[in-house]
Amino acid sequence: MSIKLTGIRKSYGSTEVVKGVDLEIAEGQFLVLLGPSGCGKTTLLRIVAGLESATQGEVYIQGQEVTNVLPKYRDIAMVFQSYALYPHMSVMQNIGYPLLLRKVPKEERDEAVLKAAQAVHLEPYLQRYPKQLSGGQRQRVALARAMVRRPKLFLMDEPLSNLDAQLRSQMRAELKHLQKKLAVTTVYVTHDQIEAMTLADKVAVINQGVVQQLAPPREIYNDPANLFVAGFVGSPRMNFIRGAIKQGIFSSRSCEFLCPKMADQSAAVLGVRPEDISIVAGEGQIRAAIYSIELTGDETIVTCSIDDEQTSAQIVVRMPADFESQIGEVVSVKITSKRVYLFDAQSQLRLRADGEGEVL
Amino acid sequence: MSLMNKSLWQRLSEPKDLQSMSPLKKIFTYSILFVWSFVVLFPLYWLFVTSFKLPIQVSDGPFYIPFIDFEPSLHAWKYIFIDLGQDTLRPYLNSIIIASISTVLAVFIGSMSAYALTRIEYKPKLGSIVGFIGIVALVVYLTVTVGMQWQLSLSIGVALFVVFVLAFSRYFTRALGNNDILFWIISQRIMPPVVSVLPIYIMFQQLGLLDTHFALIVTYMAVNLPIVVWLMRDFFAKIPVDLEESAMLDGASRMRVFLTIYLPLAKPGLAATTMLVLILSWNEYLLALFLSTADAQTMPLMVAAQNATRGPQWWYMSVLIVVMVVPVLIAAGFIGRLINKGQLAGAVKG
Repeated sequence: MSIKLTGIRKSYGSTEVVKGVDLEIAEGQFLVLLGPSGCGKTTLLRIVAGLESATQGEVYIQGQEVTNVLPKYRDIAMVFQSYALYPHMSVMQNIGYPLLLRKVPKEERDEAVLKAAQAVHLEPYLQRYPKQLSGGQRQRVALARAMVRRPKLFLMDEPLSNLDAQLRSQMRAELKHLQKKLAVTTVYVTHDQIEAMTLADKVAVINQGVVQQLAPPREIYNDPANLFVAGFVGSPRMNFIRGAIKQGIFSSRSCEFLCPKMADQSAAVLGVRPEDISIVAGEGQIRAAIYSIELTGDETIVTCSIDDEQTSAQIVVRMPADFESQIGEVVSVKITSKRVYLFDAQSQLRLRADGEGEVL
Repeated sequence: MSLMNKSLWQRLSEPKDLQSMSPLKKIFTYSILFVWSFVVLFPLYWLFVTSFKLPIQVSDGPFYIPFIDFEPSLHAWKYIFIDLGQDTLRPYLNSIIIASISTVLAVFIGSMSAYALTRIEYKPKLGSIVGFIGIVALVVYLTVTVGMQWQLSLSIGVALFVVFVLAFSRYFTRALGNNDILFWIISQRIMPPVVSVLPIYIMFQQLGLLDTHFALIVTYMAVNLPIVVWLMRDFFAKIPVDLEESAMLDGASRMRVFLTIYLPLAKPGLAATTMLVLILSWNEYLLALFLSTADAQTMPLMVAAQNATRGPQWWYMSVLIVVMVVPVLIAAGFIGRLINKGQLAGAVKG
């Protein structure tokens, strides 16, 4: 089941929340819409579901235009952030409800319900009511209800956000397993980049109603298209240093970096991830003063303050767990990897040398 | 919330465990409860006792306890059930038929519109509404003053309205919303019923439907609809929208969502509303007085009729009222069982 969105726009009154989105999802793929809250990702999902109508643009499901088709005719199952279980029905009735509406005979229905319940380990709870279940179990009921009728398309709106951290990672693994097993095209909305990275075949990073980048998770991480994507994906987030490029040298008050292939740029931003830099004893590209040191167990997160075009800029360095230093100590930071990104500070777009990804 | 921040009302209305109270408080609480129970129950007791009294015992002063104060007699019961017989049974059945059917209709139609007004956004154009009212006035004028046949004037009106909307609707920008519709619905109850009772009487007279069950059922239904809409809207608004959207994606139509999700979840509210509307129709007097004379006469009229030329016949009235209270008690028993809390627990989140 493939989906195509072309030129989708959505306005509420005078505020436009989705500003021209084109997306394509191939059969069986897991697409994650990732973005901060209020970026329009949920609206986009609801437009695919048919719960919201687009102000402009078309929705195609398997080549068929469904822009104005009612949700019940789209053969889509959706898992809501709130689970949306029917409180007056038992788990069994909840899961069986979509089949009941399709007039599936009782025996067939019970069999399908049992199978779906088994897939999410719910068999012991079939006679219970939603209020007698824990959060994780409710989540499973919602999943089973979505799976039971073998829809063409799964939509999930932050389905794991109401679970505690441990349960969330467990459910994440189960979700991924189920999706691969059932091979159902899935669109998944989240603001959690870990969910996006782990679950997705493709991630669409969305901000302010516009798709910033549509690519596999690895590419999103290694080859961000603009400042927003670079800053949004990755934790701790990418370090940004403001400066200028002149004659193949990026320079700011506390940093100098050679990039011979790059054209001159009066306002540029250099981006480098915390794991790609290191505090060294010898020469480095960045001069910094240590601001805080946090030991997480297997590593140390060091925050340093640097002089920038902006006052009080900070960079974060990931260091081994045995790193020791004093707050206020002046250190030099060395870029240890080829993964350095340059951006145009005005347009926020990635600067590439002759279309190449790497600048070194 | 700390004790300091609570208003007096919040503190007074908090549930308290009688077992854990100090004796003085306990005595105070129980005495208030006792006094209030007496206030509520004594009229019922008085009614019941009076129905077994002879006229002379009623007029000679207060007698409280049967067999001790006075010798109970069945004369009033005999008169109502044996001497009057059919004449009692007919209004009784009328009341049951009219109250129950009008209640069921009002609750069903009212809940549907309450659902629609909670979940669907309506934007009636102000211009179209004004146009509609204008054309209704025109039709009335043509029929009544000019003397045109109503079939003809009505067709003209419909045609004019269609043309009017087609031609001008795109110039109408001012629109009303759901809240305006709701206000319009409740505004039907702002006017005292006495004002509308004569027009309603004339309407049914013209249609030749006076003194029929139909007239009373339709009128009671119309009168009670605003109450149902307003009460049910509140209950429906508490049901999370997610449930409806989920059901719609599962393949349910709006009607199906209404019947299988909204009505079951609003059961407590539905029960309370039904009870209220049932009691209102059951006890209604003014409209029944105008719209029924004999065949469709209801119990309140029958009770009032005992206040005849010979003065109020308290003993007969008491019998009738005792008989009238019984079905309401039975209905309250059944419906009350549906009013339980916690229907929505577990719908969304933890």
